[in-house]
Amino acid sequence: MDYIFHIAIIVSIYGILALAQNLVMGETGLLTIAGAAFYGIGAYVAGIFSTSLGLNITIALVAAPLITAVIAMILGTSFARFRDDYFLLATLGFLMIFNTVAKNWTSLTGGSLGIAGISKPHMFGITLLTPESFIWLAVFVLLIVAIICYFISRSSFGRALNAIREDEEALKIFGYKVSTYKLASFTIGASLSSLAGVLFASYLTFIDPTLFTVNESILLWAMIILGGIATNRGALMGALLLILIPESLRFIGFPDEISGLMRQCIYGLILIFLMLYRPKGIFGKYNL
Amino acid sequence: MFYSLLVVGFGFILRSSKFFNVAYGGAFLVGGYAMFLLYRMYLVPFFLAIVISLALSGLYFVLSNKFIFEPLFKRKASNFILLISSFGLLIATSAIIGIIFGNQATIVARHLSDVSTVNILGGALSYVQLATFIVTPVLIIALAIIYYKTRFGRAMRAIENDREMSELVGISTSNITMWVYMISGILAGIGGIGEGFEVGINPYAGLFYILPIIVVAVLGGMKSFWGGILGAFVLVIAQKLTVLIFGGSWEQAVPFVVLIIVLLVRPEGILKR
Repeated sequence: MDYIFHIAIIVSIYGILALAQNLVMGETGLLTIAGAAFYGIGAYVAGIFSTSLGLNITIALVAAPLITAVIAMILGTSFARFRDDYFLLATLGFLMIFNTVAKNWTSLTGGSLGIAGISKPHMFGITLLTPESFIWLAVFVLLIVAIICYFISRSSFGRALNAIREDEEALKIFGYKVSTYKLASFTIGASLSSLAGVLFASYLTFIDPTLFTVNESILLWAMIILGGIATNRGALMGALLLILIPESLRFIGFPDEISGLMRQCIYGLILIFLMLYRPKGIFGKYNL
Repeated sequence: MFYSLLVVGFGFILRSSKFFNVAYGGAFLVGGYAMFLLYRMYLVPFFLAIVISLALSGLYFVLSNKFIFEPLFKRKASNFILLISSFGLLIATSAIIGIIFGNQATIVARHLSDVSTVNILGGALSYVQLATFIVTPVLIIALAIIYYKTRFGRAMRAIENDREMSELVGISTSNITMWVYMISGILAGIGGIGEGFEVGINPYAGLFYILPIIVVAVLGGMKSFWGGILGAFVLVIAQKLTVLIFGGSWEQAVPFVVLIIVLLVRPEGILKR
């Protein structure tokens, strides 16, 4: 039973990440690979708050999005002039720098050993120790993120973002401040990702730099593309499927090392086949 | 040195197909692991093993083009799709290699003599490093001659400039592209083999190397043959300086700091065409 709750928690965490990635990459069309970096920043904020500063994870849940938003704002402003491939390269650069910093700034991040002993969240007098209790927090945060994303995609702000994806120049002519919209989307996406990071860190109670690499970002790509880019339920569906399919491999009885690689292999192949045969994904309405 | 050869191959692909084909890292892995399988496991003679491994890495790249990138190109897919599918291919390749050969670093060298060093001008060089120093300039010059002086090279440059126009004037673009992929696959394979002898190759090496190569290609200016090589030298010097000043563990971040600076300051790279 615990196992089912465990899977549900992982699915909610990735659901948050996929929704955030979808906001930036799907709705706005900003090609970013920095998803894992913001996820990682959230996790490290939680880790540092809980171990070095001895604070409650609930505070990290508020602080992480703020800290990430500031970082994303700075990045977004300096990356604003890049388009498409170049934006991707710049975000890739940021992700790699984040990885190196996480690995090398030993006094803050614990280096490649990571941070262990992160506390479980403690709220309303209860400590969420078991997966059964943690699931409520995870689902609650997922719900909030989903509602935010839902309202963004329905609002005039969301429509402006979609317009940026379709034709940036045209929108500029209509007098929209395109760069502000892009920056806002990038920043919101980053803060939402960091929430997932906080949840992940306090659920696992342990983080290290290898958890937040390029592979993780590509997994997020695979999720939103499989579900259908620029649709919120697509992002959730993608997260659900891409966690469940590889998880089912465990029951066929591969050893752990192989099943991890199998998972990578499945993600890769899914991406290739989707690109070849159905770039729209499952719920797709928008062609890449 | 090592980067400059790899970046030449990557540059060919980048210029002829106009996207960052990260599956290049896959060809790197195929070359290295094929060499491991042939030379170390099946004890095939050295030169034969090299030839077969390079053929395999070239073939890998040609087939990937045939079955993945060419169909996408025909559909006029956006760069985004091409990039994602090449990332998918790289990840799938490294995972499959990991499943077959295991996750740890694999040393290709069979004898102790393969890794012994020679003293030249007061510095100790391993045979691999020595070979790199000899092979790289020779290959680069040979490639430059092919690229600038032959009919084939002219066709390559024509395709890089304008694919549709070259098709109109009767250049068989798909044929030339196939050979371009073959050549770059082989260059990537050479890199993989070198890596396998020098420090051992692991399934993540493809991703590990492709990122600095992209940086080098952007740094040198994507449109020129020599720019990439210049970029490689600039990057390596920057890396070594960082090691001197800040210590070795920060070396990996250098390419990306350089990348961001270059993108901000001079997105067209050092050499313009």
